[in-house]
Amino acid sequence: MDIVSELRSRYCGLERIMEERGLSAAVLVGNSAVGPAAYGAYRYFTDQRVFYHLQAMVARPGKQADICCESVQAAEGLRQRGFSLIHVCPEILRPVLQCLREQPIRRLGICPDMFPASWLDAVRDQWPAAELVDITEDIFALRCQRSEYELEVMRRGAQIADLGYEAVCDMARPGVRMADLHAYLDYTMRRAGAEEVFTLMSNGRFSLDHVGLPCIQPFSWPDDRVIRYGDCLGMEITPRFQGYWTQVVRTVCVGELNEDLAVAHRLQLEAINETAHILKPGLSLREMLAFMWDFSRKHGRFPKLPFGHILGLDLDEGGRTDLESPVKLRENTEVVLHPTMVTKEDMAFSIFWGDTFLVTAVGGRKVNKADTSLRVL
Amino acid sequence: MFSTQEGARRRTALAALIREQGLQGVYLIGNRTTSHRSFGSFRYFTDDAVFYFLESVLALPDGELLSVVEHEMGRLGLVETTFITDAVIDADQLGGIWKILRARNITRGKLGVVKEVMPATWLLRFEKEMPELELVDVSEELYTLRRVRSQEEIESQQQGAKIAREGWDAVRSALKGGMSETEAVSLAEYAMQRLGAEESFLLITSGPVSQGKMQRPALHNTACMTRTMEKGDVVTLEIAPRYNGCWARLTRTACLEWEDPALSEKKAMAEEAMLAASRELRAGAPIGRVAETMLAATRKRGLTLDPLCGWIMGTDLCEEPITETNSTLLTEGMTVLLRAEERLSTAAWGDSWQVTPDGGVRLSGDSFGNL
Repeated sequence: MDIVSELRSRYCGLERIMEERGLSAAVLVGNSAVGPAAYGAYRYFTDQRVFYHLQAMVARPGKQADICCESVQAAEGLRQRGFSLIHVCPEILRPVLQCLREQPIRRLGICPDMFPASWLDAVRDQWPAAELVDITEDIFALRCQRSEYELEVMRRGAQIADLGYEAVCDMARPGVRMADLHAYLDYTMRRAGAEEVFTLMSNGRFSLDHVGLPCIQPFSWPDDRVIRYGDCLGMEITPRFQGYWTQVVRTVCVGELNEDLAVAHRLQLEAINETAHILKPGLSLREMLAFMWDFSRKHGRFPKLPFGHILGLDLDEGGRTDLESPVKLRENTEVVLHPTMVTKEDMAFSIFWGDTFLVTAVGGRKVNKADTSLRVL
Repeated sequence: MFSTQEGARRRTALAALIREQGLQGVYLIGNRTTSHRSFGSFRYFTDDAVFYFLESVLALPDGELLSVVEHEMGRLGLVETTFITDAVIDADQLGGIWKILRARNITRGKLGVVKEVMPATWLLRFEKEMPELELVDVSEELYTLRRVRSQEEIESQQQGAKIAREGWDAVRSALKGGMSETEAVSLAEYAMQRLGAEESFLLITSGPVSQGKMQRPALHNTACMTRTMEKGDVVTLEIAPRYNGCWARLTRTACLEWEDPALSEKKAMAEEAMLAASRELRAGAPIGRVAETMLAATRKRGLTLDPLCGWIMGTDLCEEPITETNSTLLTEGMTVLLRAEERLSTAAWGDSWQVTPDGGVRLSGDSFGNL
């Protein structure tokens, strides 16, 4: 299936939501930020990577969607995806309101986490009697139904993450600057097609009993860190391919095996593999976490957040993954498992290790092929 | 990272604004959106780069900047590396902000916000939780403070412009037929990240010239579309790195493995127009005059440019447009993208310049370089 057909199918889903919720219209807003849950809604229905400011889709029952963007640069990509009602205006709210004025607005569907407060003021001003209906969960439920198209995109994204990991293993040696390693990893993934990357790295001497390997962090300047012999390198490798995020989390040794890391690694693999068995449709994130929490305690460890999250068009699709989260996994939901199990209660983090799985009826199926052995570079 | 002195300067200016406007405080929300001038205020006043979701900070009349974090480690990180003076611990950002407001007895009066960045959910929650606090939009007031450029900002943008040039050089030396647009922008990004660019904004277009006309789409992000470039193409790139929170930018057009005398001539005209316009980049001069000069210079030579002649850049990528109708006055140290795009061909060239009392100083090198 091509993207234009895929988008048409998704739009039918949105029309069903509008009908079921009795909506006069729905407005979906996209921006270039990375976030949970609602952030991917606009992308889902447009396949449009917002690279500047905001864009918006105005959907009305029985009509083609109107797309409002701020420049001709943005309009080009939209045309290629089958959209013809495109309004280019630096003040995007203006065409949004114009589209809404074409019919009476009694109930307006929005994702309020993505809808700017200034737009809310304008809508309330124009339609004071209109009811604003939060359709975030309705759209999320739709997004959870993965198509073959999406599965293929996620599979290719996983290949990019694997490539990124190999690039790090090829380059990381004593004397290499962390800034250069970080840049090379990002470059490798971008030239392989990643539209965006979300890379976290750190280096240091891992120990089970104290924080020698700092928490992974994003690139920031100035950065004069240099890899040393005996270091461990922690990394979260997260490319976004055609809108879909995937993740590989690894820690490697430089020069020599770190025995503490080897111990932590074995336990991490065991935790991940055992949890993968229960990744079946119907399992809630709360239940998944409780399982991993239990595993940690049975093995003499203190469990800490984060333990993993759902991936998709958003980096953290289910919102905050914690012991209260009722979000249920569905067939083909993509979940990254990266447990945090520490030896002392006051430690905040430990080894960084994780893999991404697809939820299936027979348990989680690993998506990425990155080597799970503990590498010594 | 900016110095603690720079942080103190910005906090002091913000505190003064709060008092002058009769506000109880200013509540700023940051996200990673690249945009126009509403979006950079969080970064400007905190020096905190948001890389995921949203972050919050409350600025108070006494100069304090208070944030909300999920754990003690986050609090220490913020206090040590940003302008933020302290943080409360709360998994709910708004819950944390309300805690601070109540602890300071701020439950009524006016609170400054930037409504274009604030999500509707948060506005609704605020209205319910603190109905006597009036949220007033202060985007433009904040931007007025940001227009004053410090020496540290000036130097950051100078460095950013150099990085942009390195990005272009990396692409230019590698450009050849068979290379994808994705590869080209990746090379630029790689070169710039290694020099400290925390993020980049890159657009590209490429295509052949047929019967004197360019056959190519508008400049685009390669996530939206990409193609494999061929010998005989004309390639245009917008290269904008962000260094220390400040944007710089250049625009280049090049012929891929061929020469086009007509395009060379246009490039020369664009260069002349830009040099003429740069003489108007004086503190206190209206922005409109810069655009007028550039458009007039090329009109005389028979070249019609896009009326948008560039942007003021700062913590946001596009803070103010360089157009004939913009009567805002330039301030010293502002960094300006002067950009000439020919309407017919869409070939474009541009460079970052800095405003001084005596006219613009070019930041990305001496010229546009070879075609």
